[in-house]
Parts: sequence; structure tokens; C-alpha cells
Amino acid sequence: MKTRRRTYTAAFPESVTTRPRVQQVLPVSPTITRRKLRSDTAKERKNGGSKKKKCTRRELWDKNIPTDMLQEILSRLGLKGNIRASLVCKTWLEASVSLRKLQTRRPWLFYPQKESEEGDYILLDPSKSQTHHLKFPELKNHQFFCSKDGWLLVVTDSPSNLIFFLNPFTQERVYLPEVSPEFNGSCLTFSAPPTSTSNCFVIFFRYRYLDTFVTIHTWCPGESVWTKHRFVAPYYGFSTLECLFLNGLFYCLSTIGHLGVFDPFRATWNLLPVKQCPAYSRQILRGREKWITEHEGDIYLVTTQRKNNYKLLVFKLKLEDNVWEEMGESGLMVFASYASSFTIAGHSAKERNKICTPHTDDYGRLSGYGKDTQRFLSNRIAWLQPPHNVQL
Amino acid sequence: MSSNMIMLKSSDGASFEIEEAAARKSKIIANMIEVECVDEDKAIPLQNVTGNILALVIEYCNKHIVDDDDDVATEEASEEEEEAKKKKVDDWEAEFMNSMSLETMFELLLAANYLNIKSLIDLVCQTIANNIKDKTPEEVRKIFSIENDFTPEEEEEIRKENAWAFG
Repeated sequence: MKTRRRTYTAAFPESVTTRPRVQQVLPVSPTITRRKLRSDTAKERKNGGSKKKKCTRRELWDKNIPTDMLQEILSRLGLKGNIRASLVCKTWLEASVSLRKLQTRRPWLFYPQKESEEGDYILLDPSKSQTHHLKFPELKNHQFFCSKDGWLLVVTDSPSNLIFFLNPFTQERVYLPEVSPEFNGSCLTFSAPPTSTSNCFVIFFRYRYLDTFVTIHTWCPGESVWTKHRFVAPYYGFSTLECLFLNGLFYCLSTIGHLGVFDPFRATWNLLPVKQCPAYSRQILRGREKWITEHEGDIYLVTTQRKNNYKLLVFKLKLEDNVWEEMGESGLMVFASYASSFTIAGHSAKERNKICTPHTDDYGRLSGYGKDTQRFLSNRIAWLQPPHNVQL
Repeated sequence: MSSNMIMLKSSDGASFEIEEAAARKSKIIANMIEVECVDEDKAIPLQNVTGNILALVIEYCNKHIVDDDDDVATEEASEEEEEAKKKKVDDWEAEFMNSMSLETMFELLLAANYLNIKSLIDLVCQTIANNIKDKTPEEVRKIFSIENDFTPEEEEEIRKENAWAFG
């Protein structure tokens, strides 16, 4: 009964405006006319061709599709599709531009107030140039490690090596168990906020030059100790440079460009057969700061070129071909910081292919578009993704 | 199956009987049921939805209520079974959308929006988006019969600023 198939007869009216022929259908299983309208539409288009010129978007589009529905459709096109769609007509332009702005919420900057000993912090909303002053007395002698969805992973310097989650927007904190002495301050990252319903994993990674194994420590909310995983590993590099969580996997990039993948659900470690990114082999780019970052489900490696006014160089990971492909114009705007980098689609030409570092000038203003990134990457400053309704 | 039945009435006067569980896919109808403004003998009038579109909406809701039931029954289904089931739903949805014209799709979207059925909005929007994903602006205008209301200068300006996206 539940899976019965209905039959649709092909009898349909001549014109779209005719009342559809739908039978009274209660209470037994009905025969409904489903109209095939392709031919009708074509016909109408022909007839409707003589409509007044100013009367645009007649016929199909003239269904009063509400703006939010248009945006629902456009939001599924990706950046490139969005921009192409903006050229369809003025209504679409408006919808796609406002959607781009909506989708590209810029991260905020979180940094200590200069020379303050009291734990005075500033949270800066760069799009409004608005600053919020906050107090975090416990933030002393610490480093920010990973930033995601408004949460930061904070580690105080040894000997205490205290690890906790901090959300500067809500003032929430979540403390983690004491970390093993193996933690050497490299590559600490998490998959999702500790309060989220999706799986939150915190991992740190240990690999020393010439080690024959890779050690990964993991922790999940509710656990009282860290779990240690040890994997026999082929040569990986000097250490891990960057870790990124995407689609259930941690991608770990070594200092010489090897890409390893840790699956926290199955506790497996694999080195991917991805060819070293050209950014490592080119003489001029050696020693430059490099980040891996994610945008719309793809992984990118970004770096800057000293000549060309610190031009942003972007390589996209093509997993199916095992290569990093250099992109001429990526359209991306990268917010780089020691803790985490965020990538958004630049919504004006001025913002595309730009790198933004958290350097603030003497007045606390953001500058550092395309400046020498290395100098400004302090581990006590971090970009934060703001929640949708910020209340400070 | 001894669930309550609910009557819906389309804008053109056609009545449909539907299981309450299926009708609850619509947030609007679910709300009406919550606040008890549903009279058992009276059909709920849906002024913005014609009969042929409402039939599609009901077909969709019925299909998905069946799937939700199955989910409860086979909670311990293996990964493969889960995947197979998901594929079955995907296939059904693909065929469901495939069988209708673009115009019907739009009317279905309006109805889903009016009735507030999130998953159906998602399905229709995704289908329309797939239709226009790799199309040029000219092709999109043609598909939707949208008139280009930009001046050549305005169009050139947008193209220039976003040259990389049109390459």
C-alpha cells in the first residue's frame, strides 16, 4: 500500500492558465494529471514574444520566485557559478552579490592589548572596524593553536602546559586533561568545537627527524586522558608544519611537503602519494611561510612571493590526480595566522587573491594586506570565525 | 498503519487525504496541528497551491515518511544497507525531479516554500542549481526566459571585474 505507484495520465490542458484537471481524490487512491509543460512553455514563449519591452522576466521566471529562494538556488553554485549568475540580470546580480557578502563572513581578530599585564584583550570586527575590549586574566604566557567556529585552543607555556578551549565571544572554557610531556608545541589542532554535536577530536602530532614512527595523541570531550597512537611511518620530513581537518580527516603537511592523513575514527595514518607541491621546489619560495587552508571543500596550499608585492600564490590539491595545481587567479582572500588560516571568496576585485595577516599598527588598526607575512605571525594573535549572532 | 488522516484542499478545490505523519513534513501544517486549528472533518485550505502541484508535494511527503519509518525499524542496519537505502532515495528523488518540467519545478519550489518543507526546498533548489551550474549567463537567460536588463557597458564592467570567473 505504501509503495504503490500512481499513474499519471497525459491529458493536459492547452494553456498554462487553464485550471488543472485534478479530480476529487478522496478517499481512495487517485489518478492525478501531471502536466508535461515543456511544450506549453515553448508555445507561450512564442506567443508572449510581443510583450512590452520593459516587462522583463516574463513567463518562467515570472512566478514571483522570492529573493530568498533565488538565493537558495544561487548558494549552491559555488563562487564561480555565483559570479556567472550575477550577469544574468539585475535581480540576479543583487541576489548573488548580497549572498556573496553573506557567505563570506570575515573572521575577527583577537589579540592582546599592547603592554597590558592584566590580560586585556581586543576583539576586532574588521568589516565594521569595531573593537571590543575583553579581559582574560588567565591568558598569560600562552599560545593560540587552532581556531575554528569561534573557538580557540590555548596552551600555556611550560612547565604547566595547561590546555583549554576558549570561546572569546561567549567566554566559555573547556579544560583538557594534562598533556603528555611528549607535547612539544607542534601541530595541535581540533576537528569541531567541544560543544558541537559533531565529533570533536583534539590531536597533536609528534614526529622527529629520522624517527621511524609517527605519534599522534588524541582526546575527545568526556575523556580523562589522552590516547596515544603510534604508526610505523616512512620518511615524512622534519616535522609537521600544518594540520587541517576536512571531511572527517586530519591532513598533516610536513615541512618538506609530504602530506599525511590521520583518520580519527579508524585511528589510521597514511602518507598520500601526492607529488610535492611546486612551492617547495622553487628556489624563490623556499623558506617562505606556507599554509594549508580549506575553501568550499577543497584544500589549498598558499604562500607569498616576495617580489610582486607579496603576491599570493595558491595551489589547489587535486586528490584524484595526486598533484597540487597552481592557480593563476584564485579569487580567494586568505586570512593567515599562526593558529589557523581562513579562506573566503573575495567579494570585490580589490579583495581577491589577497592575503591578510593579523598585523596591527600602533593604533590597533588592521593593516598588513600583503605585507611580509613571516614577521607578523605571532602565536598570541588569532583570527576567529564569529558566531552568527554576536552579543558582546 | 492506523495513523490519523488529514484533508488538504488545493486552491482549485481539489481535496487530498494524507497521513498526518506525512503532512507534518510541512512545518506550516505541523504548526496548525499543534495549535489544534485542524478540524477533523474539514480540509485545510491551501490557497497558494494548485491541485497538480499539491499532488507532487504529497507524493514527495509520502515517499519520505515511508523512509523515515524504515530508519527507525532498521537502526542496526549495516553500512552497506544504509548506503543502498540512501541510494534508493536518491534515485527516487532524481527520477521524481526528472519527470517534471522546469515550470513545474518552480511551482513546486513555491509550494515547498509556502508549506515550509525544508528538504523539498533543498531538493528543488539543488536540481535547479545543477541545471544552471555550468551554463553561461546567456544560456541561463534562455532557459528561464529572463531578459537581459543590463546595458552593454554595465555588462562589460561586471565581466571585466570578474574576468577570472568567465574564463
